[in-house]
Amino acid sequence: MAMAEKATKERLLSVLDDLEVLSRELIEMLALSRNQKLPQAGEDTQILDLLVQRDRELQELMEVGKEQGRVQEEMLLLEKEVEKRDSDIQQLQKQLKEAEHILATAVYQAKEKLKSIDKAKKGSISSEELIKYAHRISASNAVCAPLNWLPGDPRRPYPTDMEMRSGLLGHMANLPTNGVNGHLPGDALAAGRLPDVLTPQYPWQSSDVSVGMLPPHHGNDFGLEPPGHNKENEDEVEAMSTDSSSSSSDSD
Amino acid sequence: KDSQDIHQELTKLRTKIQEAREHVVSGMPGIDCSPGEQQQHLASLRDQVRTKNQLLQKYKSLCMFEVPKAS
Repeated sequence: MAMAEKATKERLLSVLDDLEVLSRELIEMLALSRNQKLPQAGEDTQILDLLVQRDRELQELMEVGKEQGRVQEEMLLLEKEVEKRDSDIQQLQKQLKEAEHILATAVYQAKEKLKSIDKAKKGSISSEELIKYAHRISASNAVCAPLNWLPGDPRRPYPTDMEMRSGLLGHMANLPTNGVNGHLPGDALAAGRLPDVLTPQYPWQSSDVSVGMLPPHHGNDFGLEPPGHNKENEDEVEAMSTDSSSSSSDSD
Repeated sequence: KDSQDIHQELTKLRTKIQEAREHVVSGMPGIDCSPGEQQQHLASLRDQVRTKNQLLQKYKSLCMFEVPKAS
């Protein structure tokens, strides 16, 4: 039983060792008996029997070894197949991981959108109110110039210099307690307190500039504007200039 | 002369047996284990191949978008 569990290689090597020993003994025994011319008491027969037995065993083990070799080839093929299947499974696993990631992202985004929808529903505003505010914003021509606006039209979507001076702040500048240092030269000029020498000179000033084309801080020239201009501005909604060069924000 | 012949024959025998040993060690694959162990290993490999084939077949034929029935 113990012999059956031994590896075939070990058994073969063991049998070969036995064969070597038995063969040598037999040859030495035959040589000795020939020299001494003495008959051996059946010892050579025993050795021969053992030799034959070991040889038979060797033959059987060689057959077993051949069979095991064939099985080994089959096992190599199966191992290659197992490797291929492992590779396929890993590839499939990788694809499933990617799909899971994509789906998780999509589900997360969908949930975020649902939250936004719920949030919007809770703070919903009626469409009439929205339209009302839109109308109010657009009615002042703050988002688009009036349809009849042409270059030269003094209307602007912001308070013009003239309108500011005619307002409360402009009147406050005329008070005697306000010093020159607290105001820009242009404002002091508008208040009529600075001489023309100190009038800020801008490179774009020219004598040919007509009313409505001038940039701000031209206090003298504004006096040439028709008196009804302010009223026109007050009546009209603020018009947003479509020409970027007419913006006065830089000169302020 | 006889002893020389015997010695030569013994040397030849030793050489042959040594060649047989080398053939057993390196020329016969698969004999590192007993036949019983080898059969067990073979069965295990066949089982692995069968299981992995089934797994792959299952996942390739699985419809990922089946809607589970409402309980």
